[in-house]
Order: sequence, then C-alpha cells, then structure tokens
Amino acid sequence: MTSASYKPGPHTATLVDELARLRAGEPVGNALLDLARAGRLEVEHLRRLVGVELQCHIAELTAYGTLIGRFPHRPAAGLFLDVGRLVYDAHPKLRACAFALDIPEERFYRWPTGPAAHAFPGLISWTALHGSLADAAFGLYADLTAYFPGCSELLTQVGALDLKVPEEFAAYYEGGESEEMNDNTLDVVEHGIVHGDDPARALASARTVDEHIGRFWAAAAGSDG
Amino acid sequence: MDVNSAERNVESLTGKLVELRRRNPIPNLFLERVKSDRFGREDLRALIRGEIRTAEAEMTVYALGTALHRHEVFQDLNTMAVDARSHLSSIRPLVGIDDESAENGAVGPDGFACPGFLSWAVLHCNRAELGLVMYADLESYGGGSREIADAMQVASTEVPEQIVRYYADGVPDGLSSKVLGLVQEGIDRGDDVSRAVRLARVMEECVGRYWQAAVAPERNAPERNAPEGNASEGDPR
Repeated sequence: MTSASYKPGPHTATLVDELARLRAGEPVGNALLDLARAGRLEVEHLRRLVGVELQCHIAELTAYGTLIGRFPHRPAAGLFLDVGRLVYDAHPKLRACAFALDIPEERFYRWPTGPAAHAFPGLISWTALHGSLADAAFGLYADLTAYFPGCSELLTQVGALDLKVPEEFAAYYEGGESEEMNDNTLDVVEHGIVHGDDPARALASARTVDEHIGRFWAAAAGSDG
Repeated sequence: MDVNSAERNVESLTGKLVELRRRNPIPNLFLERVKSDRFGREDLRALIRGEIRTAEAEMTVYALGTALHRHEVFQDLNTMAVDARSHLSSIRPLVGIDDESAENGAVGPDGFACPGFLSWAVLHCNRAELGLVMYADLESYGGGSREIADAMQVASTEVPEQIVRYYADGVPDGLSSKVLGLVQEGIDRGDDVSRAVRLARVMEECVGRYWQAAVAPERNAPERNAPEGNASEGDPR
C-alpha cells in the first residue's frame, strides 16, 4: 500500500498496475499459509521461518550496503539507508524471537539450509551486484508488498489455530509495512527509469522477487518444490 | 554435517562432500531428458538461457573474488567465464535466442539458483568456504555437462555441433585442483570451515536445480508439505 495522497510517476504507475495484473492472473503461492489453512501448521514450521529470516537479514544488509555503494546519490541512497536501517533495527527482535523458539544460537545464520532457504538471499545478492536501480527498487517494492501482508496473514492464522508461540514471535511479525517507504521506493523506480533503466526488466525483477518470496515461505514450510 | 577442528584439511572436506554425493545423489534432470530422447529446441533454448545468465554472474563473482581475496585462481575462473560467454554468443542464434530475450523475462528460483547462490557466496563466504563452493560447482557442473554431451551425441534428436562441443569441453582440466589451493590457503590462514561442506552441498543442489530449470516450468513442480529438511540440512537441536 502507498499513501492515500501519493501518486507515482507515470512510468512507475504503469509498472505498478502491470505487477498487480500479473499477481492477480498468476498468484505465487504461500506454502506456509497453505499449511495453516489446512490446519497443519506446527511450531516447527515457525522455527524454520525464523531460521530462514535470520539468514535473509544478513544478506539484505549486505545487499543494501552494496546498492548504496553503486548508487550513492539521492534519492536511491536514502531509500537503501532507510530499508537497511529497518532490517538492522528489526534484527535484535528477530534474535529474541529465535531464542524464545529454542533455536540454539550456534544454528543462527546456518539453519535451515538448501536451495529454498538460500533462494531469497541469493536473489538479493545477485540484484545488488547486477540489477539496475529500477530493478533493485521495484524488486524491493515487490518484496515489501508481498512479505508484510504474508506476515500479517500468518499471525492471523497462528491465532486462529491457537498455536502456542512466544510473545516475541508476534512482536516481530506484527506491523512493519510502511506506506512512506513504499512511496519512496516507487520514487526511486521512477528515477531509475527516467535515467535510462529498462522498465520491462524492472517488472521482471519484481516478478522474480515474488517467486523468491514464495520460495522463502516454502523453505519455512519444508516444501521445497 | 559439521566439520570439527581436527579435520581442517582439504582432503577431509572434499571427502565429506563425496560421501554426501554417494549417500544422496542429486539427479541431473536435463541429462535424463536427453537420455530418454524427449527433448527439443525449447529445452535447448531454456538450457542456453541458463548458461548465459550464469556465465554473466560468474564474471562478476570471479572479478569480485579477485578484489576480495587476491588469489590467482580467480583469473583462471574468469577466463573460463569469459570464454563461455563468447561461445554462448555464437550458440545463442542456433536456438533462436536474440539479445533481448536472453536478458528479459522473470526467472524462477530454480533458474536463479546458481547465479544467486554464487553471488551470495562471494559476498558472504570466507576464502575456504568460497573455494569449496566453487570446487563443488566445477565438479558437479563439469561432470554433468560431459555426460550431457555424451548423451547428445547418441540421441536421435539433432543437436547443433557447437552445443555438443560446448558441453563436451566442460570445465578446463586442472581448474578444480587449483580452486582447492584457495581452500587450503584459507585453512592455513585460520578460516572457519565448520559450514564449508554444507555450503558446498547447497551449491551442488543448486546445480541440480540449474539442470532442472531447463526442462520443466517450476510452478508445475509438485510440492511436499512435511516440515522435513533436505539433504544439506543438519538437525537444529
């Protein structure tokens, strides 16, 4: 969601509409929510989720730092500083969540492993090194608008199933989405396109992120399809 | 599988990797498709698109490896990647890939597994880990590609000679051994190798996904729902 009064630039408005159309026409599944809706979600899945998330945080911090190095000007650097700060500030809460779920500290950043657990860290690393500014920013928009609603729905399902989870879990996964950050992300997409980035590639980047967010949930669900 | 501090040598690490391969082999689905003679131009196009995507990522990864670790093996690796990219430029038209279609289009996680994992590895691994990951990549990709070339030569489906030769050439002789020199150097400098084998195993699984991406639309893949791990996982408790 963007702010009510926000209007993206003309190139980006088209991309946002096209992404919404692709998402509606060919939605990417969320294996963790599928389990929850089938009544088969267990605390072990949530432990896996936190384990995957710990690894993603490190890759995200590296990626946003790399992107600042590649695009050290307004408005791009400000966006990547803000999203890096978001991850950095959230990290202690995630570690507290991991401890509360009884994940041994020596397994932090190492478990679970395999292609699904490494999919999102891999993509964000690749994008940081190879993506255009519009690729990176529209990919981030896809990330923010897929991940946060997924977390919110997960908490609803956890509540409905009456799963016994520590309060640190809800503290980490509730809220988080920022309309202002979404607005800023789209401003950077427009900036990239106006300065020559290919909008078709930016759209492909966002859909690739959608697919990888799907794999992120699958890694937690243990359904590495 | 953790590697304890008493086993800090290259042979121990590669031995554990080989043992994992033996216990739990990773299928090469593209090879199986070629062997069963159920492949065509679409499969070759998907395969070559994956090669282009990966060769370009490798050029970045090996250049960054040079900058971060200043070891000569990255020069050899980059020469391999540049040569591959050059060969792929001449192969591309044979399967109907133009410049634009080589670069555009969303790529599913399996198609991104190798470029993504290598990009992650160069940014996050110490030199021993990165060396073992690259060793696993060279060994699993090189072996698989030579088998694919052999199968293409006896298949009734006609494959352009340049493509067969590309896969028959595989990985340059001696490169895997040189990469192990990087691993040894990392060990000698005190790199933590406790997760090296596990990461190398993930690399091999990613190569399996790489071949898989050339044969099947990923979203059609069957899903499992049990919270079980895969072959590269250890028990978290």
